[in-house]
Amino acid sequence: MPDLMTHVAISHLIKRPFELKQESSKTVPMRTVFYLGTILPDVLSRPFYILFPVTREWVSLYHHPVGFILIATLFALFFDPTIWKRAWMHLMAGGMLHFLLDSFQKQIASGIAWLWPFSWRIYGYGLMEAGDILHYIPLWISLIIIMEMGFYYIRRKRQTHSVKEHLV
Amino acid sequence: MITTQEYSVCIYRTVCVYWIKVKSYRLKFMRLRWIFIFLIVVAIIYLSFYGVNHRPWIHIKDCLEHPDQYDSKLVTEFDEPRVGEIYADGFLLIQKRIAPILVYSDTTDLVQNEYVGLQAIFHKEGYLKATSVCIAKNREEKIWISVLPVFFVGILFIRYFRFNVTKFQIELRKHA
Repeated sequence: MPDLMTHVAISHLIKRPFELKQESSKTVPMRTVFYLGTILPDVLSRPFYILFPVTREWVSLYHHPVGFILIATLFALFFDPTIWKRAWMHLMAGGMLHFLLDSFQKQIASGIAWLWPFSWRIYGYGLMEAGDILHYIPLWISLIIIMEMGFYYIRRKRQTHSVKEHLV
Repeated sequence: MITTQEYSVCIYRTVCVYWIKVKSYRLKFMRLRWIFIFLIVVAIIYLSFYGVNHRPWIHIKDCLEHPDQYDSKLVTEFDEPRVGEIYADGFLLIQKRIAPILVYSDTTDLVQNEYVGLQAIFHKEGYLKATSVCIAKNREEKIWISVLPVFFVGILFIRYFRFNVTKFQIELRKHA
């Protein structure tokens, strides 16, 4: 698995451009749910089996897409009825992005069983080693800063344009 | 020509219809919610048992408990395996709550105390012959770095959502 910093950074880089037309303050809550979706598969499984290896077989369910779909749906059902669908969709999208990123990593003994419980076969591309991904964190952070600066510039430009139009 | 009174009645009716729709949807959702929650919990429990009992992968603990049964079988699951002492033809595999076990393998890239990804053939005499070994570089750093985003997302979540105890649901905070 890539580290969670990489997961959250990439989810931000993917989600943020879709929010360009909306007001930033309105998009943050659902973006938070999206982030939550990207970290949830690891948060629900890794700490338990790192601290208590005996639990590994019991919690590995949450690191399979089907297990995640169930747990994300369960979590989304606790949201306010007016927002639960949006919350569910953001959780799902975040979770699937997590599994997709995990698939790019080289696996020796474990991986993503996309078709579990119908098949135990592990699918993956094995493009990079988990330890190497860590060195890319500064790159993700720089990209986020550049993107946010770009968004700030676009917002400012829009605001001045609308003020000019208003004055005319 | 529509009078102001008719116009306001029309708006009032539209609002009422919308409100009834929202309310009935809420009621339907609230009624079905607990049924869905129950079904999902049952499915999760069932799949957990299925996952534990039907795993095709062999754990080293099973091999050590029943060495004859698992002789010459491929072992893929270990408990947080680390490289212990390194010898010319292998290394000592250190795990949590499991006695160290000797692994015969190529040791060129191995580093002592590092986490290792391993697939190996178990032999009933009590040793393993590695089929593939890979050092899990920077694993400890990765774990510690991963703690930071958990706090970040947790704080963001608490900032924008709150749990309404009376309604038993997560709601957006008023400022959000």
